[in-house]
Amino acid sequence: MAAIVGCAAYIPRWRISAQEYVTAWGTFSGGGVRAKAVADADEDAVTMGWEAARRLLPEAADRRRVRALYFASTTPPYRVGTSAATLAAMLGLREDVSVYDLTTSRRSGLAALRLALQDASGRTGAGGPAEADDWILVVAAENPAAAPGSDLEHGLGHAAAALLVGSRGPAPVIWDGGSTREYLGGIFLRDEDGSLQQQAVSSYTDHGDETLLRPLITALRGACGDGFPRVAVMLAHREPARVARLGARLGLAEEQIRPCTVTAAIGDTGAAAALLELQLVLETAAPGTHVAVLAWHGGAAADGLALRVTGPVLVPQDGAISGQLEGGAQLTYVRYARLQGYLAARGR
Amino acid sequence: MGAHISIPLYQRAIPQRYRLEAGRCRGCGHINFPPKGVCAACRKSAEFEPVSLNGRGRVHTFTRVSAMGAPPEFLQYVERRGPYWVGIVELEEGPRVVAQLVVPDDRQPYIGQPVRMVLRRLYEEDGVIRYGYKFETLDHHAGDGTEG
Repeated sequence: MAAIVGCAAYIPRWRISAQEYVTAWGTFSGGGVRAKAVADADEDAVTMGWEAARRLLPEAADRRRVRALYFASTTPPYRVGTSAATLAAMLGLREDVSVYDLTTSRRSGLAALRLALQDASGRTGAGGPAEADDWILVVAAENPAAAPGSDLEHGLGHAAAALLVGSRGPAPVIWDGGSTREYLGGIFLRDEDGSLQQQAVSSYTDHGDETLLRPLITALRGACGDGFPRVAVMLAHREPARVARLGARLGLAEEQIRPCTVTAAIGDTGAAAALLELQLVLETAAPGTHVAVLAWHGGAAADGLALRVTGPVLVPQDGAISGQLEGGAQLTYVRYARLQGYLAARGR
Repeated sequence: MGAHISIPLYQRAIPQRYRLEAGRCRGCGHINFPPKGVCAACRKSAEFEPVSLNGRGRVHTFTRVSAMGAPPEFLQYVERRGPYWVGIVELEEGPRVVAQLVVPDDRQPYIGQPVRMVLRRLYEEDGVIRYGYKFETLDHHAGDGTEG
């Protein structure tokens, strides 16, 4: 059965606290985000993704076992281009590797993981069922930006996640599913705007999320049967403060809802967020743990995945999330604005 | 804007820029990085075996490039980040390379400081992002602050 074999994260060292926003703007709209990780001026989704994947697969020989790479990001360095191919070249993957770019949706990290698991089990993909020695690499990386001072901008954080999938492993998939509808809401970016925007009607957003996720929870409940109350459920919400209420509205028991610990500590990392939350659970999960993760974009499309942990998942020491949550240097708001290019000189 | 990037040169440099691929001389065994046409040590052999360097090394010397001293392609980086450090790094396998130093928390590097290779955006040219190696400084507590 297709399974997660290992995972590693890269979280940039820079941090800006919610308090810095309050000092600068008088308010902070991160919805439960305490601080956020900020990429350096020479980092982007590809370099951060490389760093996570390098930590996961430090040995060149292991990289030669990768037969497919799924790269997910709403902030690829080129709007049209081949980020996954660049990443494959950086990592020295073999030349017959299949590469896929999943962009435009902030749920695409979990979608990429679902596709990789389906690929490994032979349900999709050109390669057919994986050989026992083959691996599939999933990389999700995000360094989003929005207009300075907009509510949306406050919570956005930067990070990358890498996961290794095989035809067998210590965290086999027991269920996956999707839910889709057209819905006005959520985050969007049009080329002529140049910056992320949001339909900011929160009561409608809550309603949209609930309507979208309810069929997924029903399907998950059916797949798990009597064991459902013991399944730890992560709702990868971009506003950690809303998770408990949303979980209750979906009929989840309080003790089975997992908080968005990573997002609260490093900000909303979009496509990478669900994978980072999942990794944090896998780092300490005891054998026998059942864990489900749901990610969605606005009220419009959602993915769900459930795993049974049967043994320790490979997490390299430098790729563990638990050692990276607190970060290093603290930025003032002015330094942050400069790093983001908000204060760059004009008219040169 | 018309592109003036040489595509053959760009393509040929990818293994060295992304993966530190060097050439081991089949004549004398010297590791040439960046790869050369003729071995820089024996000056006889033009036959090389490709080897990937492990990316670990030490700061041989370093300097600080102020905003006014930066080449124009680094202007955007300097606007965001300020002055930056450039060093000569001696790699474990022997070669010395000139590269930008990525310095966590902006603390001054020191001679002999251990470093590891990272991949970052170097600059943009004609809309093309040039990725390549830089070296991140490690082990900041042991520094004595020696100027390079």
